[in-house]
Amino acid sequence: MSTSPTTLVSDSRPPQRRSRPAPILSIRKLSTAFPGAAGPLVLVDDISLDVGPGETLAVVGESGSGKTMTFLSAIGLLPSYGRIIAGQVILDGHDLVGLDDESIRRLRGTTIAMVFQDPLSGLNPVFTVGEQLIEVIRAHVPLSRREAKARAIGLLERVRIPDPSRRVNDYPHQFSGGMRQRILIAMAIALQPKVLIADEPTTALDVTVQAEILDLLSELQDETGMLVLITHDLGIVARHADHVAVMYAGRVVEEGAIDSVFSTTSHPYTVSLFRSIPHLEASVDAPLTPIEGQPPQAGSRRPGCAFELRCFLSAGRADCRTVRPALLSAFSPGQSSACHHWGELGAASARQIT
Amino acid sequence: MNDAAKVDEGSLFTMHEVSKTFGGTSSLFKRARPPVQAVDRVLLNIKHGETLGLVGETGSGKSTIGRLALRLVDPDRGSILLGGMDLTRLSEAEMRRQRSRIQMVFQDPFGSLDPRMTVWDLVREPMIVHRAASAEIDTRFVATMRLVGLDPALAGRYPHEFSGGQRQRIGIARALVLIPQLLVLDEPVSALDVSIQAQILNLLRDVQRRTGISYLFIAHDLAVVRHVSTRVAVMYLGRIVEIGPRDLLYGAPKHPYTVSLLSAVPTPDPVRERMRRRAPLIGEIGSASAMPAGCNFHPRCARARAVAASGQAPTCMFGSEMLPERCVAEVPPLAEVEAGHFSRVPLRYNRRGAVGANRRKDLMSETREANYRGVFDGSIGFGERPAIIVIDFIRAYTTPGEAFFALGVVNAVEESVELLATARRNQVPVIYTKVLYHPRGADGGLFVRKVPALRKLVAGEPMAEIDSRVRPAAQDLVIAKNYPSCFFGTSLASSLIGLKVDTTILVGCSTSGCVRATAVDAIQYGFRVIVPRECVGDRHEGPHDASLFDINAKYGDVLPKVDVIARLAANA
Repeated sequence: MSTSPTTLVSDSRPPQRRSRPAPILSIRKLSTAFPGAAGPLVLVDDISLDVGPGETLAVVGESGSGKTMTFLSAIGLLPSYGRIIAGQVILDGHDLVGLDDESIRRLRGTTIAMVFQDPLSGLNPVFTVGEQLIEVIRAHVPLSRREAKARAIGLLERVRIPDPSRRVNDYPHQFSGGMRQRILIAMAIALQPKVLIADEPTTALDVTVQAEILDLLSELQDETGMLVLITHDLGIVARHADHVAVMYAGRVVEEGAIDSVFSTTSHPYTVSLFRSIPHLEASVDAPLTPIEGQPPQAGSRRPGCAFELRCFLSAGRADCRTVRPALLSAFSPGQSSACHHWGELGAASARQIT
Repeated sequence: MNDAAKVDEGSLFTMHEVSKTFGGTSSLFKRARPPVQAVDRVLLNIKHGETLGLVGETGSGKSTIGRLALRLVDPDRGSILLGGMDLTRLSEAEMRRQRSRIQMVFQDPFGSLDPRMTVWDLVREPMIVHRAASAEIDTRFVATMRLVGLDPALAGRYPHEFSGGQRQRIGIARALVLIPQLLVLDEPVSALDVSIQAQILNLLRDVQRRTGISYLFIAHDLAVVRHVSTRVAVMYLGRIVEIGPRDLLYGAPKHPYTVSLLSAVPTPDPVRERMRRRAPLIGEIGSASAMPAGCNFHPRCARARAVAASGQAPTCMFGSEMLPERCVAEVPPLAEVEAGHFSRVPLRYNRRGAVGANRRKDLMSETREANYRGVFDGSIGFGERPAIIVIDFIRAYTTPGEAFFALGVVNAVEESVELLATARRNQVPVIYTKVLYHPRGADGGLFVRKVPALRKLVAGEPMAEIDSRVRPAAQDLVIAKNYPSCFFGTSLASSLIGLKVDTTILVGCSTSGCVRATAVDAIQYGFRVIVPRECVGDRHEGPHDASLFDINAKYGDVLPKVDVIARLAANA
């Protein structure tokens, strides 16, 4: 029986997180452009993001918002026709931008690794998963095949694949979708990276499998370091992230600690996202509030705010149409919003959940 | 009237005992593959103007149901009725004519439209195939375009000129233009961006209100299905395991698979999400080509293992595991558990059975003091960190004009005060929820003064003393007034999980809907719920009332029961 005093909580929300630790991965004013018919298309536009040790950062946005491109740029995996036009990516004190392919290849895997959405295309169908894991390990660590195989079995066990010493000899098609995603995670953590980037790791999976994969990622994050979770699902963000960045049209429009962004939302786009998604505890009688219009074409640039045409707050105001809003601090400490009029969003208007 | 006709009564569309197996045959060039039992004796019906949501994991057979509905594949067995006509008996040519009455919308708005056809051709094509009169074709084109929110002036454009959401509207227009009675929607929004999904969901709702069309809405997203459906069916490995009105199924799911599915869905609320515990689910969906014996969910079912471990049912060794005999031997029938709500009823699990009948008898004869001591020192045998949760009792008793509450008031308050005192003596933390202690009140939140029954109870004692008896102490936890309502189901129990508290004692008038909702919730999360006998009303007449006994009557066969501890002698 416990006799120690229990914390007296006087508010329904847990206490504010302590201030953020110094970042290990720091993306600073990164811009990436792709060639287009009418001049370069800027898909990643002046993005700054920090991830500290032991932290999970969620990057939320629709397709075309630039969330994947930001991190492909950061780890040097841009398609050959794309290029970084400005900014820095500081990983553990080194700037990755401008490094030659060989040095960045050495860093990839050992310091930073990425898990992609589609578990089937990430694996080679003609090799066993063991061979693929061994290849990854031996490319970076001088080990014999036997030692590497033992390590591969350990990794499969780590990602909770049942009977790993037998399954290590199986081919990708012999695994279910969830199991394949686990194998990709095993590959990504094979070299104990400090930063793990998971790009929509569960979008192709069923909800029960999704829950298990995300729990696994969270657990790995607890042990090994930091996790960047790229997703469009706000429920996943609520459960797994400490910090969240919302992207729209290649820019970060809102950023902050998870509790501030969810309780005192400070950008109309984020507010609209909350209102447009059905969830299990929302009222079913009211129609959803869709975001009218379409997301802008990737890389198209407007003089004002990119969300202006779909915004319920703007109402065609001149500054929204002509002046690009900068990402500035909003309601809570550490929270920032790229909206001229965020102050008009009452904290209460932000959510319609309870 | 035969069986199928009985199910079909009053329905637009019925599938009766429909089964479909793929593969299993060999030919000169093809090796025989093990047959896949995609759909196994499925029984469902859709009424006029309603939406039946169909959920399940990949491989559960839900898309096959959609294809069977249009007879794009033929069933091996069973009948499929549309407006009383058995579609399985029609010839190909007759079926083709009937197909205008059932139409389908596909998931992929990119792959399902011919890129070389204009919207004009795409939307008119079904009418031409079905030989509509040419005068009608043009008017219907315009009407349907307007119905789905597209400007008829866009007729000359090609699919690539539209966004994903607009393309899905074109797909819906193609399906609606024949004025079908039933629309089969197979994952209609899962390929769309989140900001566009809502537009399409609202459109579907609007079309249904205006035309009275019925939908079979197949999707894996449980939140989306909840939003659009009148009734919901849950499939697992080819079988429907639960089907019922939306709010009953989502509010009080009966089948352990449904419970697990619902608990896996995250909600965009960080506070609650972090504290929420999920219902356990073992492994991944099995294979329909190696259908598990008996209840095909048994390889993943945590409840079956709990029942086997508690020794409440005859067990057998199955593989390397001990499982209840019935789970591996019988396919549980789909039985009506409440009006219109059917579930494959799983084995009853009663945690109380483990305590032993004699022990319970002892408890009944013990005094109040002894009972409570047992709770606190752990000798009753549950949990290492007991805590008392006092919820909402004052609110229940202050409801004006309900004389019926009066006896309960005195008893339950007395109980609570006594329980609090015992907790103090034993240094057990108490969890206060919103009403008992009102932090803003100058009197420490004592509603006591205003309630006659309470005044009587504490007559002659100075207020300060009473206050000291019910005021939270340093080791207590106060969940303040803006704590989410217990009616939201997961709130209290889920925070208890976060606090690592093992025991729940609910004190309160059992007719309080809040107490009842919390009790059901706590049981679902695996807590033992015990209630002093006095607090269990045996009448229920209030506004949203039902006694805690009702919980036992209603859920007792699928959940552990609420334990009612000894009747107290004090009020004789």
